Amino acid sequence: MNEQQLKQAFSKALNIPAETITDDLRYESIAEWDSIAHMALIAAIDQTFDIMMDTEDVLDLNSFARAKVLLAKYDIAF
Amino acid sequence: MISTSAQRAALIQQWRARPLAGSVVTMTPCQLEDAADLVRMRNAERARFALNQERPLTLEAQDAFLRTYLARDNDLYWVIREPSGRVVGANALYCIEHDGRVAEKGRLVVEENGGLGGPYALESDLLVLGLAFDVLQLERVVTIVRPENAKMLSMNARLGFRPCGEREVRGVIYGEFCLESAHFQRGPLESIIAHWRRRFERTAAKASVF
Repeated sequence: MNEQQLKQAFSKALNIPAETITDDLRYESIAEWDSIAHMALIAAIDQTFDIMMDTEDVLDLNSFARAKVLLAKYDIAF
Repeated sequence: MISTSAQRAALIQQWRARPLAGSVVTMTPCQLEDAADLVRMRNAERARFALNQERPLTLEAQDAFLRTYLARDNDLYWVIREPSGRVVGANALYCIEHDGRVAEKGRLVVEENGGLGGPYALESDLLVLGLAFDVLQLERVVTIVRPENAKMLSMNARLGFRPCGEREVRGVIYGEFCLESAHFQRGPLESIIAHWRRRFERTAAKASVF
């Protein structure tokens, strides 16, 4: 459930199909993950999981896999 | 309604002395004392590549550029400040045609460390384009991007820019992209800024408690 919601957040923010989102998706690997998309992604994650990610986590979020690790800090399990 | 070139030229001069304030960032018109910050940001590896700047920029060269900039009447250049006032980037609208047909957006740099910690590039671009279309009532804004700069190409597409040509810059062919006033869709992007404003407000409130 949480994984699906996170995929939807990535899909909407990066404007890419949800089925293309895997743990291998990285900031450096895709042009669509630009700085506007990163801002949209953080907004989508904050809103989806009703949290406010710390700035250090915002800067550290560089892949789909990393997002799951970081969200565990906010008691969101995958 | 701007009806003469002289009115537009006068507006540009007014904006030389006024900050451009957004929800998160404030853009202040570049002054000679901003030279060191500009050199720091423009000499970052990614910025040097994007700007096709072969050699490191010197403080003397930046100071000389700012002096010529200050003498021009068709150029607006800002430093981008985060809420604390610290300089985190720069942006510009230049070659502004006084007849209102077109201007160029560029010189965008955002510092590499922390550049993704806030909507600095996004909001500064929205502010510059808002000024171009709403205040200066320009018909079109043009920008150029090095073809390998995939993130910037993607960003510009999100702002509504479409390919419209090519241009050589110091031996490198850059893509040219145009945004017509009628195609500037800021709504969805402004909702992202609104979220980030709430984030900064909550962070500031949290800090004041401790």
